[in-house]
Amino acid sequence: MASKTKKIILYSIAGMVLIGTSIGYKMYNKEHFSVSGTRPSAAIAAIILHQTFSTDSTTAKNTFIGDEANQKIIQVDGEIAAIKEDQQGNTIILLKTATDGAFINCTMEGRTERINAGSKIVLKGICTGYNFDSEMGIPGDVILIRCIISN
Amino acid sequence: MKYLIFVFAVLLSAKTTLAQKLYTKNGSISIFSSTKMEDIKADNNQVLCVLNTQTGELQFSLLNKGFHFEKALMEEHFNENYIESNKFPKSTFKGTVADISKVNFASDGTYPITVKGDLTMHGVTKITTASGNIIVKDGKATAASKFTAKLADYNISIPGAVKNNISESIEITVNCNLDQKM
Repeated sequence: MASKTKKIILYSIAGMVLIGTSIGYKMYNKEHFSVSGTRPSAAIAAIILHQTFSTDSTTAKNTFIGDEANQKIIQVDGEIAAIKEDQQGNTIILLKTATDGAFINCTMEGRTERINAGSKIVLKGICTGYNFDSEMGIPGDVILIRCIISN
Repeated sequence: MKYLIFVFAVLLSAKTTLAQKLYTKNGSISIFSSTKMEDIKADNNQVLCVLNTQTGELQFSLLNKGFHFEKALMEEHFNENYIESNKFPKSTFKGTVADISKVNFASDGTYPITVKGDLTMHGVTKITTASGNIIVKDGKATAASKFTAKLADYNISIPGAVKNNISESIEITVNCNLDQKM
């Protein structure tokens, strides 16, 4: 009887260790969530998005930026001001705003073909905030990363 | 009259030169930690970096949430536990290139520089000195530097459970192609 109890305890511990290890392994290797498979939590025009960040940053942060563990996906529509490439080879789409030299700065997931400056676009991505510093004297951009084209 | 036009032209050109700022809004900064257990790297490609070619003032600003890690869990821990990106959304550097006069922005070449200034991370500002290069190629300048920062100096503490996985000092690599002028 005592030996049977010992066996049950041993098997239970081994089972718990196995379950714990596999949960830990799964969590460690979990993938980044998919932007394409996630519904945007807000849809907004590029001009309004920039205006909101530059005039009411608290509202903008609460509406468009997720918390530390749960990022928000937003959908933005606007006119393409320029298309560039960053130093890693990702396509950057700059959407026009009402402020000269300020853009919605969208880093696409990888290279993006068949888009032209001057055309309208709808895209979705993760908003990381408004990169502006008055001491630098450069108009600030609202930053979106991991963007994909929605339309 | 000719004299007045000449003086006006000289003044205008002097003002233009003095106001020369090179900048990018998509510069690159990487952080790297290496231990026996694992290497951890993250990139941020939305760095706002401005260099005043006359005064040598060099500044950069980045949003901490823009750091992208290979593993989602590392990114979560970085934002939630280490850099606390909701509380401290930005990291910045404000400093001066000591030997800016030695850089000839009109001539291709690699110019060694030393930068000294205030590095602010996790709400803590520390004076930092770093060496690097300004690389001029085809009329465009790139600011590049590699330096280390001790996490404890910025009140970033590593929990005991992952102490062997994260280095006490991280390597910061700056690579900003300053392709815009104003």
